[in-house]
Amino acid sequence: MPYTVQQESGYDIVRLTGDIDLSCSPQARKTILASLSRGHHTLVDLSGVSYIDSSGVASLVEGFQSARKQTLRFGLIGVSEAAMSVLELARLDKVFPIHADLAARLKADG
Amino acid sequence: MSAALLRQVNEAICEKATLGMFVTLVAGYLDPRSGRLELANARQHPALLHRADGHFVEFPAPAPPLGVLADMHFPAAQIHLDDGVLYLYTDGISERAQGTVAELGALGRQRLIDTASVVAADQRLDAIVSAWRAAGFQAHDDITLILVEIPSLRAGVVPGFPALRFGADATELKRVREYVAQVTRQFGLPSKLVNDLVIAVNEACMNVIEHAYKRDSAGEIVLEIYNNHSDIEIVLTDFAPPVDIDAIRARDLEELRPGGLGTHFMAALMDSCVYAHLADRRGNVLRMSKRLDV
Repeated sequence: MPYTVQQESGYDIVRLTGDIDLSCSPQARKTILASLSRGHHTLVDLSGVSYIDSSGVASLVEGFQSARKQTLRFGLIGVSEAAMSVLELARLDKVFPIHADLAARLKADG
Repeated sequence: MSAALLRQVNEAICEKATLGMFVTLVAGYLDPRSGRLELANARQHPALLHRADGHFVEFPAPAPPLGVLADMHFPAAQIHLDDGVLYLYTDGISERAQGTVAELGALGRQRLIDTASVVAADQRLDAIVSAWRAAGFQAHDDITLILVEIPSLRAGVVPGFPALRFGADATELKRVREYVAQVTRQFGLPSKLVNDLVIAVNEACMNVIEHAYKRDSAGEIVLEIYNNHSDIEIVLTDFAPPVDIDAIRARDLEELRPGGLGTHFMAALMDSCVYAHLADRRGNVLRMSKRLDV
């Protein structure tokens, strides 16, 4: 299933939905890295994520690392409860920039 | 104790019996509290233990029949029944099924798997006999089939939740997660614990798919979940080549990189994760447990 990418306020917003497990994390990874490889600042919207496994989290880590290498802005928005508990488990909740929504992120960007 | 018994009976038979007569016999001593069974076997069929993880272990009879030679030693096998079921059986099925465990193998094993966690012992025996009959096996002699199990040690087996068997494919994971959630909710566990168990099993299955079967989706995985009341026990069996157990370890989270998180998730969410190989390098077993606050 392809994931939607929306351009708004200077960001590519990749919207992941449903269960992000081993069967679709490669697609999620590809979508995130595609935005970054075009040199776009990227936010991943996790509000519609009902489950994320370690392979899904690994895709986010890759995106984060790729953005840093290119000095692009990257972060997560609308992190669902299910996704947050897994990010906490991976102790990545303090590593990724996480905001409630795009407006909150833009405000933090200043 | 059972070895000594066979020795005594053997002496008596050798003394009294007419030449050429011999007796096959199996004698056991069971401690129902610990589930330990001492079994001496004088040429009866090998006893067959159907472990709760779905696998069969055979205990062959190394000693000759009784009445052949006096002053014989009959070694006893030490069997841990645990939550498994032990089957003892005579031949008398038919010539072509004779001799080995193959008769249970050909006809009964799948039947045992299908019924073991669902129905009571007597119904299971009926089911096995029906399967034999349905397969057209004629008895030319009487048949004895004995089933030994300790229900209290099998208390975790919930009727209606037989093992889940599925292909080693990422697209199966959703079904696996739903199964874990369904079973553990049925156990009455709090939703946080249900979610934790779902995550642990999902990660364990991913490891099997990626590292044991190396993405060969023809492989099969068997998942069993037991409620032992003091803990939840989850057994995941695969039939891939044996994995290097020493190489499985959680990585340091301080190091930021993708991959290797799954084993950390399992270790963080469960109280124990124990890996083992199946006999004869036929696969791998992961036994995870989570204590319950009771």
